[in-house]
Order: sequence, then structure tokens, then C-alpha cells
Amino acid sequence: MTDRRPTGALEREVLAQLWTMPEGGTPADVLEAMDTDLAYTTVMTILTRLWEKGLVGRRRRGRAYVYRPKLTEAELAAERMRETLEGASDPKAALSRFVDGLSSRETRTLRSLLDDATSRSRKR
Amino acid sequence: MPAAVLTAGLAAVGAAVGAFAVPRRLRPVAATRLIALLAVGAALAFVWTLVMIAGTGLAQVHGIAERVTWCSGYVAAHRDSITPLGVLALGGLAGAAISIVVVRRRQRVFRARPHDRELAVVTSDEPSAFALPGRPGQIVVTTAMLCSLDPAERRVLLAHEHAHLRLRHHRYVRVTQLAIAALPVLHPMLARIRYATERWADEEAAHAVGDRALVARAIARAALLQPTPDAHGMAFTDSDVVARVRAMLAEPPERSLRIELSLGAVGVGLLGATVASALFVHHSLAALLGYCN
Repeated sequence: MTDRRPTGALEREVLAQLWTMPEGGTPADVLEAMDTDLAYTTVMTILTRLWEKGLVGRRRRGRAYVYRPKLTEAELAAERMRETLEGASDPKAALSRFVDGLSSRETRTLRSLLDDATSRSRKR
Repeated sequence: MPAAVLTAGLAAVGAAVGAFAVPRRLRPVAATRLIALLAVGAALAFVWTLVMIAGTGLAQVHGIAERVTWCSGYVAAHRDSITPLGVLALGGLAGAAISIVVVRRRQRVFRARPHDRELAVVTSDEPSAFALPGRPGQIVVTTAMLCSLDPAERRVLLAHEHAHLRLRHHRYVRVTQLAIAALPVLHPMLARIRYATERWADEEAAHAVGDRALVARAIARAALLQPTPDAHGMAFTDSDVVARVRAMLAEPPERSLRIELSLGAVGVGLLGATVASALFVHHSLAALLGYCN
């Protein structure tokens, strides 16, 4: 099922993965770090496409390319936006974030729920 | 005219009550749409009520009433009682207009600049992620957030934010904010529609990764990365995270056609009533402008 994910989703995932590797990585490194059942060629194709779009940088090392995340104007604009958001008097009203801060009571509840979720989700 | 004012006023009350009555357990897609529909319906009916009251009130002053011969029987009959109410309604309209402009201006700030990358990663120690509306929209995630999640959880995060953009959730939230600006008693609807859109994106993410418990895990882990508001002396408020995690650990919400259809019918019916009340007063508006003869 994983291989039938839409291309856009795969590009996002590979790009996000690359951002956790500041030194960059070869397609093989990325594939291994992603802990996925994607094919090597799929990852290679996606990295090439990201490079063609100018979203990542690359340099040759031996027989493979090492891909690196690339900081562009879009990232800088996003950073400014994030600063505005964090500085807003009521960030919650301004924009919906993935998650908001918790009270200490909620933190305890959430930890026990997390144990439950972890045991139930199919960890590969 | 009194019948029209009454119709619109009751429609406003009915729609507002309907918005409050949308159950939290409803399928998030239905909850989102119903809350937005009923809140906007209530605000429109309320503003229209104010317009009619203010219009009738204005007809009493500056000798307009004397010129309105066709409707003079009605206008004159209320000469004493309606004017103060008209002034009050005018004040209400001005207040609503100002707060709508302010809210709209604030909404415009949070918009993606034109860009060629849907995913913008920000180098930061603060774990944070959000979807920025725009054409096209943009997912903004910090490196701290990406590095703290495992690859499967990251996939959930990206699918969740992408769902916000793809399904244009910000539109529902924003029209609700504008409705609240016009009719402040709707204020609790903001938290409710936010919760509904977050739940909707969670369900979309679960569909994308095919594992509800994994989505629960990702939300919980991301939330536990956030600094505790208590520590910063912020007000204690229950966030929706716990409810979202519980919902993802439970069975998927079932479609409850009865509630969805009846609340939807209420919304559409009350909007219809508001429009109908506009037809009632058509001749009065013409009278106001002095076209009655």
C-alpha cells in the first residue's frame, strides 16, 4: 500500500527526511533512514525530481550523489511568518497549529494514552 | 415590517441555537460544515434584523416620515417607540462592521507568500507545525518537530497539514470568525470549528497512512514536545489534543444522517426565512428612498 502513495506525498516525505539529515545523504541513506518499504529507485527518482525543481542541492561523492536540504527565500518567508505567529497576542486564534501546549494534568493523561497508541499502532 | 423583523430575528436566534447544538461527536466533515453554515446564517439574519430596525428608525427622523406617503400609516404609527431602537441598531451595525474589518485584516496577515515549495522547513529549536493558506498554500514545519518524530509519525504530520490545505479548512474557520465578529455570542463556535477541522485532518491522515493508532501516537508525541503553558503562567485551558487522541484510539465516527440532515435543514430553512423577510420589506425600503409615490 505504501508504494501507491501519491507522488506529492512521497516528495514531501523525502524532503522532510532530508531536513533531519543536515549533512545530507545518498539515496541509500535516505531510504534507510525513512524506515519504509519504498524501492531504492523510487527514492532516487524523487530526489532527482526535487533537485530538478531546485528544492534540494546535491554533489557527487564516488558513484552516488549526496543530497542536502536547501534553504531558499520560501524558507525565510516561512520563518518570518512563524515569528509573527508566535508573537501574536493569541496564536490560537490566528492560525491552527498541529498541536497546542498542554496543561500538566493533560500531559499525564496524554502519556498514558501514548502508551496505548504505541502498543496498538503497527510498529515496523 | 414587524413580521419581517420578527422573522429575521427568530431566524438569527434559531441558527445560533442550532450552531451550539452541533454535537462534538458528529463526523468532523459534517460538524465543520454545519457549524460554519449555522454560524454564518445566524450572523446574516442578525445583521439583517439590525438593518431593518435601523431603517425603520431612520424613517422617523429628518421629516422622512412625512414624505413616505405610501407607507405612512405604518411609519407614523411607530413614530415614538422605534427611533431609540433604531439608533441602537445603527450602533450595533457600526460595531459589527468595524469588528469584521479588523478580523479580516488580521486574517490576511497569515497567508503564504507566492512560492514554489509546498513544504517549507524552518530551522528552529521550537517544535512547531502549521498550514498556511494561500494560492498555493504551504506547510510550515520546524526542524525540531521533524527531528523529534519518527518517519511514520512524520508522515502523519505531513498528511494532516496537507489535508488542511487540500480541503481548504481555513475557509470554514475564517467565515466562522467573521460571523463571530458580527454576532459575538457565537464566540464559542471558534474553538468548536477549530476542533472539528483538526479532527477532520486527523481522519484524513488516518486514511492516508491506514493506521488510526499511529495518528493518535503522532498527535500525542508532538503535543508532549510542546512547552507546558502552566510553566509560562498562561491561563489554564483544556486543549483539544487529548480529545483528538482519544478519538483516534476509538472506532471511526459513524455517519448519523438524522442529526446531520436535520441540522442542515434548520440552517438552510433559516437562511430561507431571512431571505423571505427581505421580500416582506421590499416596499418599505423603496419608501425609505422616497420612491413610494
